Amino acid sequence: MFLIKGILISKTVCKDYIVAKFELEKEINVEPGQFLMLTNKTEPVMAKPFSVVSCEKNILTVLIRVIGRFTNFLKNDLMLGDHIYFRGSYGNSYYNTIISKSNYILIGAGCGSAPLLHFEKKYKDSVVKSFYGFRNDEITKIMQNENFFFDEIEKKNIIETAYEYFVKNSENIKGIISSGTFNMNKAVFDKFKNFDLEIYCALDERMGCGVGMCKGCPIKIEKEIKMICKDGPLFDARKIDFNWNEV
Amino acid sequence: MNFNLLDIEFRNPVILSSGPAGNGEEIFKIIPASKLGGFTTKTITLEPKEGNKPPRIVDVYGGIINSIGLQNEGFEKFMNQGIDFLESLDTNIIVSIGGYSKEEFVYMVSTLNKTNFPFIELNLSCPNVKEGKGPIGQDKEVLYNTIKECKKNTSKKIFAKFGPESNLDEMVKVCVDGGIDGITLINCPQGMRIDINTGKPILMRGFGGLSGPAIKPIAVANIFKIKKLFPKLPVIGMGGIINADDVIEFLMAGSNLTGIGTGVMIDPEIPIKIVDELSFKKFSYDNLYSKALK
Repeated sequence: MFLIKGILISKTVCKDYIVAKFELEKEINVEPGQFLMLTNKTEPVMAKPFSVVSCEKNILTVLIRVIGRFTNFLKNDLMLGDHIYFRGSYGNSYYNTIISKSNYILIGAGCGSAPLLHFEKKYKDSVVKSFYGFRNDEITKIMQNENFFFDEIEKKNIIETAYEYFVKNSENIKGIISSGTFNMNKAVFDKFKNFDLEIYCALDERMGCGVGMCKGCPIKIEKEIKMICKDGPLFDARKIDFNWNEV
Repeated sequence: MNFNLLDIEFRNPVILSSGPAGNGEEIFKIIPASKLGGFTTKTITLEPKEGNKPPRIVDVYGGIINSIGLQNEGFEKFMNQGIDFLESLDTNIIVSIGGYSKEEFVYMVSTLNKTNFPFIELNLSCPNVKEGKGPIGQDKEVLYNTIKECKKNTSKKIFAKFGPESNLDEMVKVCVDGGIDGITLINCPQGMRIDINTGKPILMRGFGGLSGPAIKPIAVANIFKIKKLFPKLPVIGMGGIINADDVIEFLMAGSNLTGIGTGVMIDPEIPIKIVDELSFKKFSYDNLYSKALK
């Protein structure tokens, strides 16, 4: 079977986020940066892409922002012992995309932090420092990490916090890996583009199939239209045409 | 389940519709083409099209709205680089083409005549750019001339694809008069979603094509209506098919072939599951449509 059944074995929720752990019917390999398509086979009918925080053997942990019908279903209706279905993993490994392989700053925003948490766990020698930004500390009710930063407490956003660190430690930094909304990624690129750094952005878009065939999640890379699901989700930010997406 | 349609042998009535499965490179790494009755390419236009800006997809109850914008690399690249892969697939290939004028359609149809693909599907939703008019599929004179000229320039079987337009019966009649071999029903009806937090449409282009189970009753009704008016006209039916029972319903409505589109985005294995399920069902395909007429 192509769809993999996953039984919900734990779930913690706060206002805007869920951390859910699933026991899959078989082991799958998910490299940091890759994503899975989740479906409950009923409504909403479309499968939805989610990054994973960790995947060890057949135990999968996902951090999900509650934003639409499917995520509200996961938050309110899916009970322990219930199952949903997964397919994947899809997309490319961050580690295979980055050039230097070491000395990176990670900047995550909201649930864009999920794949970076996974990356940091598996490739800790590649990371100098990580910054995971959330609007407030609500997330700490369900997940803790010493590198979580909260805009409302810090009185500045995660990009400023990361930039201040970079300025003091720039000789040791080869690159930035950013993961969040399109606008957040663009802001990271604008902040760091004038430095001699590799800058990578993990892009997020409404997806259809997850494998590149439906052409639902485009991004312009240099002069070509690429699919975020198949060709990304991590791209060299210097090749992204950030202006193409604007109206 | 083997049967013959327009002198072409089909192993079953399940085909993939144009669009969601692209030109097959990804889906046929997941499922075998050899289990399907056929495969329809993504619509190819004469010139390359980069497609619409995102968001291109938004979900709705029972389906999605898409606004891909016919992203494709153009007819020349398709002829030079796309054909070998498609010809290697063990299934019937239907090439979907979209033209912005009669001349574009005729050029592509006549060029495709030298390929081994048995069917061509005309996507008639593009505006008539040359004459500064709306969709070619809504202009009776241009439509008639386009079908007639296309038929004159090819030995391939030609299908015309329509949405559930209010004057569908009239436009199908024009196609029949022009010599069309069959009709594909239904193309996605227009849909829209508005973000209630911003008051703005979610899709970058505002409108898109609604597909998935939400449109199934509309598809069934239109196929039934057209089949009743044109009983001998072959119909490729599609619109929200996600299981074997849906296929049977479309066959009962008068479809000769049944296309799966959005279904492969939910689960790429759906077409194979349907074929397997159909093979277990014990009934005759021969009189399904006539049952619906009683």
